[in-house]
Parts: sequence; C-alpha cells; structure tokens
Amino acid sequence: MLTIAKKTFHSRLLIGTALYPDPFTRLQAIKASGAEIVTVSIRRTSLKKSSSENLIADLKNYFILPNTAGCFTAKEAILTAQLAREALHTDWIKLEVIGDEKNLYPDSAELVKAALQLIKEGFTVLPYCNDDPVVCQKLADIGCAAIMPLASPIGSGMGIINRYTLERIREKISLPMIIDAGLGTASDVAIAMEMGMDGILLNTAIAQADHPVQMATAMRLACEAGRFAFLAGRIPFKKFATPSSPSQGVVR
Amino acid sequence: MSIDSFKDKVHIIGGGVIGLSVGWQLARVGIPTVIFDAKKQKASAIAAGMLAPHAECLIENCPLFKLSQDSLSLFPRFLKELQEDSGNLLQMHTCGSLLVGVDEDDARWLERIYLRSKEHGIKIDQLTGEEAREKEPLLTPRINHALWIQGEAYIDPSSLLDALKKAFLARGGEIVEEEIEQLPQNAIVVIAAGAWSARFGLPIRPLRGQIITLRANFSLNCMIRSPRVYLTPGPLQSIRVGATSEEVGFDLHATGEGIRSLLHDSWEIIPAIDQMSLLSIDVGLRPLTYDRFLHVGKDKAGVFHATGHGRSGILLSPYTAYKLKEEICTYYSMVKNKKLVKERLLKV
Repeated sequence: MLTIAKKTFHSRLLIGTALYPDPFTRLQAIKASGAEIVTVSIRRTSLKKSSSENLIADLKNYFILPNTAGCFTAKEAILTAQLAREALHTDWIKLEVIGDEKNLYPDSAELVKAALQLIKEGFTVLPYCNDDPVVCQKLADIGCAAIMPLASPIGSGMGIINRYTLERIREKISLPMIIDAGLGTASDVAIAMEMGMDGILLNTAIAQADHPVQMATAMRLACEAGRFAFLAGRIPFKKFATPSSPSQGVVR
Repeated sequence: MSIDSFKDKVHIIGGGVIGLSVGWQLARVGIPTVIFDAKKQKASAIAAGMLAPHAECLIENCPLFKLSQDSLSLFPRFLKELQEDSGNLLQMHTCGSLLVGVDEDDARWLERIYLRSKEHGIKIDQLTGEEAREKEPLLTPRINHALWIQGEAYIDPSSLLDALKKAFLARGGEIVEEEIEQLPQNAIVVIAAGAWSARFGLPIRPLRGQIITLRANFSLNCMIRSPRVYLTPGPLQSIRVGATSEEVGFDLHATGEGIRSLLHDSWEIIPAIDQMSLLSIDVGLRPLTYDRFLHVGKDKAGVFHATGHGRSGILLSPYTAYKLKEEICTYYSMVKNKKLVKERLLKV
C-alpha cells in the first residue's frame, strides 16, 4: 500500500500518458501496469469538444495526477497548477520546473519557489527533483507530499546512475519517495524497489517499448518483486562462498 | 434507408484525397456520385506525399504495414487510370529513403530500426557517413552512419488532388462546395471528411501537423528522416520539412514552437537549410483512430466510412478507393434492384 497525503493506493506504480503509439495501446498498457495513478500534462486547449477530453474520459477510473511538464519558470508552473485545479478538480500536482532543455534536469531554485507558493495555496505537491539529498530535504521540509527524484534524465532509459545519492535521500527522508525518471526496463524498477523506494513513475520505458502492453506487465511484476525483496530482507554480500547443503554426513 | 425515396447518387462527404479517390473510382464505373466539399484545410493538400511504407513501419512500428505495401503496389494502376481520365501524367518519384541521426542517441535509434527491419523482413542497407553523403551531399559531416531503404517514393499531393478532381469531373462526377451538417437521408453515404468525420459521431481525433516548404537552387536526391523530422523533395526544387504531431483538437494555427523545431531539426541534418527561402507554413489535421487501424468499410447503419488514415492518407488512397469501390458497387446494385422491383410491382 502506497500512502501519499493520507490517500492510499494498492499499486506502487505511477504511469505517464505521453508517447504511446495510439490511445488504445495507452489504455491497455495502463491497465496492464496495474497502476491507479496516472499523470497527465496540462495544456491550453479549446473548451469545445476536442481530443484532449478523450484522454480524460479514457482515464475516468484512474486517479489523475496533473503535471506541469514543459514549464521553465516557477511562474509558469504555478499558473499551470492553478489551471489544472480548475479543470480537473484536484489540488494534487506533480510539479516539474525544467532548467535545462537538453537533459531536462529540474531547476531546483525555481522548483522550491514554486513548491512553496503552491503549498501555501493548499496544493498537494509532488515535486520532480534532482537526486540531490539537500534539495530533497528542503522540499520535504517545506511540506511537499512526496519527493520524486530522477534516476537519470527523463526518457533516457539509463536506469539508476547515482545509486549512492538515492540511498542517502532514502535514509534521510521518511516521506513517500518515488523514482520519477530515467528507468528503462523491468530490472531498473526492481532495483529501485529493492532500495526501499515507495513507488516508481514510468512513461517512456513503457510507451516506447516495441510492445508497450507487455512491458507494462513486466514493470508491474518487477515493482512487486522488488518490493517483496525489500521487505523480505536480502542476505548480506559476502566475499566467499558458504555451502548451501549441510556438510555433515557427506559420503566419502 | 427508405427505398421509395432512394436517391440514385452516392453522396460523399469530403473532397480530400480519400473522398476524391473513392468518388472518381465510382464515377469511373458509372455510378452517379456527388462530393460535398466544405472547403476546409485538407490534410492531403499539404501532405508531403511520401509513399514510404517501410520507413513508416520501421519508425512507427506501424499496424498498417501490410495495407500500406498493398496500396503502394496499387499505385501504378491508380496513376495509369488517373491519366486516362484526367489527361494528367503523374509521376511517382522513386528516390529512396535515407534514415540518419546526428548523435549517440540517434545511433541507437538507427540500431533499433535496423533490428526491426530484420524482424519484418525489410531490406535495408547500413551506410557509413561517407556513403550517406554520396547519396545526399548536403548532409552534415556530423552524420556517421545511416540506413538506406531503396525503392521508396513520393508524389506531389497537390498534383494528385488536381488530377483526381479533373478525372472525377470528366467522369461525370459532381462537386458541391458546401458543408454538410447532418448525414443525408435515403442515399448511400460515404464519410470521407478526414478529422472532421468526428462530427458525424465517428471516433476520429485530429492530430495537428505543421509542415514548412523551403526553396533553394537545388533539391534533395532522396527522402531523409531523423528521429525528429523528415525532409522530402518537392516540385520546383522545393523541400518539404515536416511534421509536428500534436493533439490539440481542431486548432489549425501554426506555432512558434512547431516551426522552430522543424527548422532546427532539419538544419541539424542539412545545414544549408539556413540559406533557403521559406515558401510556406502549412497546418493540417490528420484523422487519427483510437488504435491506428483504418475506418474503411460499411457500418451497421449502412453508412460507408473512409477515414482514419492518420499520416498515411496519400499512400493509402488507392487501397481505400478500390476497396470501397467494390463494396459500394455491390451495395448500390442491391439497393437499386430492390427499388426497381418495388416500382415494378406497384405498377401491376
């Protein structure tokens, strides 16, 4: 069970809704992932009947987490969050403020600024942030509902490139910690969950796989496997072998 | 449909490449046909006209591969018949597709496409940067490897539309320039209104595409694609650079972001883009289905659908025209016979 801001979810996966080959595959993949939370980016669009409504209609059985993808300043992100609240009747927001177009790294200064303002306005803020223990601590201190550090750049599929910092963040922060970006395949998800993460957000790894629905299934299983392995407690690393069969009574 | 007031004419809603192709093929076999053309921006009129099912399939992992191949093989017959009826000689320019990338990430994109080609049994050649530049000398020296698909072609969509219109009228077809709000009653109806088919309740969504046309003193030798953009040669030494894919509803505006990315992404491959004059910026709405499969055939109410062609309307026009011609002819004679029999019995 994943609890964020007093709301409880059975699945620990969060799924993004972009980049799928078509809406049908998107819906099938989201179903296969078992996710309850799906994140959608907020764009200006005509209020007349249009395609964007289809997405929301498709997702009526899911908990919708709007995001501020594409925002480069605190101001844009705050406005986007306010529009999302009006349009989707939710005060939850996945806060993204991008500082670097090439790597899509968050702009930590703008992010904290936007988070402060939105929390003041009563939003439940889930910030997409760098894997920086200090920034994560700050976001936790000012009252974010979860922290969502990246594993590697968005859409890169590189997996966890700085295990050390993510471990330090996990040690320090008791808030829900969700790995937001950069995972490429099922083993990446399992590793993150084994490290004690509370959840995983995936988009490109599923949407751009050759077979998105199959990959979504793999991700669901990996997430569960990693979580169970974390709870079960792995054996320590050892330098030398320990026989697994009893040594008494060996026939010589 | 009430047989008594059955109108002899097939009513086609939409005068884009699909509506015209179907209409012309019907008129060609003597079925009276009227096309209602709302004079909206036709996606087919601004398309790049690529007849490139292999590249398309490999890049998009496309479910329409088989149909696209079939349709491409129908093109020579389609164009021959079109020449008979319109007098216009249309050419498929078989120039091949070159797939290129500029950095490490693009190299992996090419690698993935190459693997997919093996899976689909598509013949594709791996080229070095040098070999790629032999095919197209304008390519940036940054390109280190490329993929080559022989035999893919393009056609100029506006000449195609002109010829279709001419052929349709020459065969006695009728074009009415007005917008249809509701489906005509007591007639065989074909909805071929592209993205606007949605207004008749079809599950079709518009996918906006922005495309720019540049002109230089030279043209391209082949079609070129990167993960972000395509460039195709066009008539009169023009180059088409496209296209964005945006889900923004029925919005036909060009945007700064769209044009900026097309220019940047094409300049990245062909630096000479800088020196070309910008002829036009066009915006169209592709008709997208929910699962990327086509909406071509008769529905429960007896209405024919001819839409959902996404980014492949030009390529799929022969397939759509021949398939619907068969189906509509059969249906037309059936309804017409019923009417004749009924009228005859009434006279007795």
